[in-house]
Amino acid sequence: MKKKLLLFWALALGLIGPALAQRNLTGRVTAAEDGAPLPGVSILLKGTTTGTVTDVNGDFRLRLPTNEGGTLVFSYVGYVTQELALGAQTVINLSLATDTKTLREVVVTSLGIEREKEALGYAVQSVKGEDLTLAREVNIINSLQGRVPGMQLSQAATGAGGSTRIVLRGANSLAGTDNNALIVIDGVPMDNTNNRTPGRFGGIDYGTGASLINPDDVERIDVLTGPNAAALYGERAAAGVIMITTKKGTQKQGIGVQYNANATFETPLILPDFQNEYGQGVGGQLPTSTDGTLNIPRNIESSWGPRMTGQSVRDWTGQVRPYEAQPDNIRDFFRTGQTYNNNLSLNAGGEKATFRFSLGSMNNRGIMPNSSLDRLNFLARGTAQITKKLSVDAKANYIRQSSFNRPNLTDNPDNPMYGFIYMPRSIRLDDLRTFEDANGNPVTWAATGVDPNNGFPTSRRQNPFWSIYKNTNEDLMNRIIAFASIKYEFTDWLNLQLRAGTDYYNHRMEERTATRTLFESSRDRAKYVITNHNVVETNADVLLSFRKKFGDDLTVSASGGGNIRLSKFEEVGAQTAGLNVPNLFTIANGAAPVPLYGISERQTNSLYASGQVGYKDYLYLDVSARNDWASTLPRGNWSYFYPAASLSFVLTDAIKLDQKVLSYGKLRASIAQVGGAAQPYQLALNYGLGLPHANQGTGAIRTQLPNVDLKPQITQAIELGADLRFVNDRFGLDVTWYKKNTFNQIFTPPISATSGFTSTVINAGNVQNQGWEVALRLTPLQLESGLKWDVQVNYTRNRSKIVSTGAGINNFFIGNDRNVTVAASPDRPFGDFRGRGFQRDPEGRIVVDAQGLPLIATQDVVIGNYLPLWQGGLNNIITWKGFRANVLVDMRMGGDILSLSNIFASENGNAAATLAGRAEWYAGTGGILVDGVVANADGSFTPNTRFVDPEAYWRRISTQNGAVAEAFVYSGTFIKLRELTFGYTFNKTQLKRLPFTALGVSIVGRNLALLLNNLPGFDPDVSSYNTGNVQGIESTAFPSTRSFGLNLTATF
Amino acid sequence: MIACTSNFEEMNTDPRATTSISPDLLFTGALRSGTLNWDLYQIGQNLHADFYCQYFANNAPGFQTDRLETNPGWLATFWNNYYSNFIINTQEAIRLASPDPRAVNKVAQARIWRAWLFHRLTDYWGDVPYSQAGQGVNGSQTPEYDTQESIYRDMIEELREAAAQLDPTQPARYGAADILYNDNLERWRRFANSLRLRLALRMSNADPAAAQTEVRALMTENRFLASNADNAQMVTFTTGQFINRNPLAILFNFNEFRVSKTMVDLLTELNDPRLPVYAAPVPNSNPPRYAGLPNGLNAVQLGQPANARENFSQPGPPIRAEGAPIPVLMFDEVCFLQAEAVQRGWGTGDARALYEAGIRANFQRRGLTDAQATAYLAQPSVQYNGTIERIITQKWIALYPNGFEGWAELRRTGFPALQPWANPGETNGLMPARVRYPPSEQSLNQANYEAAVARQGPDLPTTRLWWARR
Repeated sequence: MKKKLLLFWALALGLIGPALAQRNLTGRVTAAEDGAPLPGVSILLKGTTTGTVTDVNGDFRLRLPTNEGGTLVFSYVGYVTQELALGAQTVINLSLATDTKTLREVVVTSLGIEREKEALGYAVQSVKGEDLTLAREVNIINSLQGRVPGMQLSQAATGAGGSTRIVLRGANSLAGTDNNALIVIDGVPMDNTNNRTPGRFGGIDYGTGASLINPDDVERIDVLTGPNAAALYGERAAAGVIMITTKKGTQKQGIGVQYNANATFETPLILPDFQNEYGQGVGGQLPTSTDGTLNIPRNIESSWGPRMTGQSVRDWTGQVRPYEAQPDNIRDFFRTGQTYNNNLSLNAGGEKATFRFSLGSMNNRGIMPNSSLDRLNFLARGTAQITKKLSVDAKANYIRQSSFNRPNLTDNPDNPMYGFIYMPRSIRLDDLRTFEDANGNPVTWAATGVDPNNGFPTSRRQNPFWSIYKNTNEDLMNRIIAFASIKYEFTDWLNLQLRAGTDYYNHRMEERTATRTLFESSRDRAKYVITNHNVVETNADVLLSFRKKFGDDLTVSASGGGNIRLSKFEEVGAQTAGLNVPNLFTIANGAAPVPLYGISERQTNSLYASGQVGYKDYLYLDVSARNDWASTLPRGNWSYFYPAASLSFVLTDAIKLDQKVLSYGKLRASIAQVGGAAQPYQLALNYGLGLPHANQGTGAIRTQLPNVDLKPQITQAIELGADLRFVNDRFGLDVTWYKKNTFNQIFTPPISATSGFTSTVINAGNVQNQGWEVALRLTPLQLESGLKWDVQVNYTRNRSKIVSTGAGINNFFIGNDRNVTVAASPDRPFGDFRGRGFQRDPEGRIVVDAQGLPLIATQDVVIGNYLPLWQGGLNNIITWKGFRANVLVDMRMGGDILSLSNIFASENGNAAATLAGRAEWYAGTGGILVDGVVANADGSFTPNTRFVDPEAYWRRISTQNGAVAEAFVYSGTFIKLRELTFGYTFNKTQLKRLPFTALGVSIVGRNLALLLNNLPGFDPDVSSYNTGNVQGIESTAFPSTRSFGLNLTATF
Repeated sequence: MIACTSNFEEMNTDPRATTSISPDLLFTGALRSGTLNWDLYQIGQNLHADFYCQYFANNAPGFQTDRLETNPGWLATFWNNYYSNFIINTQEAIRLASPDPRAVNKVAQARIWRAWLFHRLTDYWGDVPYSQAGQGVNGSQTPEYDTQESIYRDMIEELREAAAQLDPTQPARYGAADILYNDNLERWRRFANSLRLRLALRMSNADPAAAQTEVRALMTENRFLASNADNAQMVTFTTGQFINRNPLAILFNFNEFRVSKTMVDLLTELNDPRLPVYAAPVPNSNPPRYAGLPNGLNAVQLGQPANARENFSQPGPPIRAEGAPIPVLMFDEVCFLQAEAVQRGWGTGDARALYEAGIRANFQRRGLTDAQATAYLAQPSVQYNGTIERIITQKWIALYPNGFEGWAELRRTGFPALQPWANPGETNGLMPARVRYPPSEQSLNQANYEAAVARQGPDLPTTRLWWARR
């Protein structure tokens, strides 16, 4: 079978040229199940090298050297091979039946090498292009959600162009810079770093490289979850690799044209859980003004007022109107988002060359008004067989993405959600639509101060419409991802490949804060930042491959080569606090311009080798080794070596077993090590230059103590797995157990600032991840009528443990936000939340003060951890004739979330939870009775009996910076209806009178419902920050969206 | 080819930084950063000392320090910057200038600056790392804490030595990089002596004998700041970056604090013409009305309409002006220090004249006339009456808005009487005696932290500092 596949590729590449022919055969090969044409079927005259492959329509044309009979062998991956004895016919139409046991599945592994899955001693998960394009996620990575065991995705709810954190088998590294999986496209790594990460006080998520990939160009994605699979990619493979293979042209007649159109519509999936009974005010009351009208003082920024019953009040606009709840004042702000995708591809190929050209456009108008994201993808790919021995393969992908007004994140008045969290429940959204008054000042419901310099109003409570119409941002990305490779086949068992690939982009970003913006602190309350990122990741590699069969039983393959990786990031820009001419956004107009410059550059040279010995097609041993030379480590330590080995044993090929019981069985084991280098510029004691004062330059020593003796960090991993299929493959189980430790971590722990430095860079620590990945494949139903129901279950269970954080470091600080620190501590899982709890008596009861209000503990304790216990996905695929329906549900069990929005909204009485006890308190019949105890003078405790004002209670436990964080930690457990698709593919008969060779339509729904959620008002599945190690904190999060779409694919 | 590493070291050299630097750049940086950029001015000074001495009161409901609760994060940031920026860069300037005997003034000026920096630090916390501080490169990453007593003794010694070291004949000078005194060595000498006088008097209760000896020597030498022209103050500008501007001008925009009731009430009671300088009228009040905000209000109280921001006075325009200088040590304070020295019998002179000179000098720098000062001084409630209370009360008014010194002198002398805090906080409603160490010290420098706490007393805001013992 393997031979056959090799031959197939040989044929596909046109290695075997036409011979003198005496007989012409034509025909078409179709799939038995639905009559669809099968392109790429290998057809071979048995015992010879004469053959061909079918084109995109399933058609073939074959010249036979003689008129004599013989046997034609039709083979195709995934289908049962058929042999056909030749008679006198010249036309052959044949249908191939699906091979339910697709044993010889080919997967893409390190360096883009295609390998048969059965020979691999480690886990690889593959997702095919159709699953990805059907989902119609703008960011293709998001369509992997729920489909790959071992993978944890955290999506930032920042619209179509947002980033996604991809963690495979748990976070390895305390440093947080290298826990994201490496993305490799067609064997060449791409830059997927998030160059500008939002922090706790706002910022914009500009997305990462992966979000730019055109899903229509993707053939398949193979996820190498463990470092075992990826030792050959070096340090970045320690976090796992996502291998993306793009489409190539196929050998066919004429030009194939495929058009794909898609429209999706988005609405908010979940909005804050706010009460609608009490309005703006304090103490349950509103003051009466001199004219007898109830008055709402503008300085009151909370919903602790009286019950809204439509009573007449004078509000912030000066009008006397009914005091009424505005239940939809957040929902009405958003619009229905729209995304349109159009993709046209041309596909041509002859015996000597193939070509594919694809033009994709994506136009998105997100749910936030006044925002857009437009992407153009242009891809050309060609392969050519120059001589019998020399072939070339080259690709150029140009991407242009322009975006206007990406949402601002977290605790920042430019984040509209921040505005809504603080906006009292009686504020009418329509009153705010005019966001600028006649004097050019912002309109806001809140009280404003006055800037003495110019009389401009000031406040932190900005009108959300000002946020999105005046304080805009804009960015433009021009990117080229390209590679070229040549391959020379010395013999059929030895070849040499040279390849160079680059991922280059320029990303220009502008952020504008309009003149007279309430919260900005420059003199004219304007700000402007423009930055340009120039980033390049270039890889050049050489690979010599050998493959030969010795005797009947032994196959040996080996390859060796080297790689040079150059990676450079450069930021050039400027910013100014204040503008001379109002709202003229150019640096030349800056009142106080400052240049911005950043750089990071590194090089890694590598040599590597790998070898495989296969015995009788059922036992395979793989070994690999790599040596890196990394520029970021000191001389003497910059060269480091690491090996890997794996073993695969196909049980069912070794021992003949009853197919009806165990139709396939494979056991695998693997062990690997991966070395890692440091970030640039950590070795020398440096002085940086600061802004001048009084025309004098300033300098300062860097606050990180360098380490002249930095060593590489090491990840060691072992994994054991089994791939078992039963009852003629009706039921399959793929299980992997793994354990992975990262030692000698290079990270920058804090040191006492009294040393003169706030941190140092060291080698220390050991983070362990251990877990299970389970993929279950089941076909509960398969009928003669063609009705088939497939179930795929994915399960991920990762247990993280900080074995050590290094001597003297008990709580390694990962990040913080208001009221919480994210930390790593020995013997704890990664990502503890530390914050304030209630003060408790020795029995654990909450201690209240004399008034009955809870007391707050004075020391931070662990109040949660963001890592989930397990995650799972359940995918149902039902096919019948041309119909295909898909229901994907995924879930997460555990993983805490600290909700800052709920803290803020509890303090100001917006949160639904703050309703309890209000009516009773205002009526004098009750309030909140804290279930706790009062401390007596003698040290004993008696149960609390004092009711308190709910306003006093919530203000006690939810102050902005001094909250009882413990009370706002929620379980992140959720169940989500992730994807629902229903499609129909027309068959050949139906298409006869139509100009199409293939036609499919489908409707798609994504993120349709949170079937289970414990987090009030927010989606536990999205991240407020993005790709860093600070996860599990919800901070005025932008709503996630549900989407519905219509999809059309036509091939001409 | 693959193993070619010849370009690695060059590639891994940060092009934005230098491994060798002039001490001038570090000294200029330490002068400016040590007088606090707006962010550290806010979390270091404004949200602590300025509230604790009741110059200002807080009206941001989410901020807890004015209601006498600790915000460990703010303190940690202030502490971290103090050591890893102000102090180490001053020490680096000393280290880099030391080998050149012609640069002796650079060393001396940086030593004086280092003492100024450290006295503010120890006045906040008490025992702090001093003799082993800032030696992470070749020394300890976990420095021992020195007692406040030994720090004070050493700072006084440093100031004495550094002042003596100043030598106008030596040519290698900071020149314009000296953004405090623009290369005026005589003023540096007077600044050093004036600071020494401040430090010596700070020890008046803790070690009266040593304080007296030191004060006497200084009074005899009598080489202090001699006029407002000698004022040690950091110049700021109306243009440029935030770092170039008056921090209070920026903080004022945040709308998060008001002038305290204590200050407004006292100035009103004394008919003090500085009231319109120190405070702005309540918005829309006609005639202009001044109202101070009580200290210590909690979030619920601040939510009450009566406590609305609009009802209270902002800092006055001259105080919050963008180009207003940041006080370091002013001539008027030196007059009050000398008056106290004479009043204690620790030097010769006319205490009344010195006291009045302090008030006149302060009026002058506030833009008021000498006639106004004369009229003010004629009031029985202002006239010199031979008490420490009168001197310190007027000094407290004069120092505004320098909360570091206002709070320190309140802790030493108990004057002036403050108004009660509205909430008990962590100090039972009393003025804090110090601030807590940042939590990071408990984990990153544990043994030395614990030794300091064992020696000094519990790490609480109520534990008195060495010099505040009475």
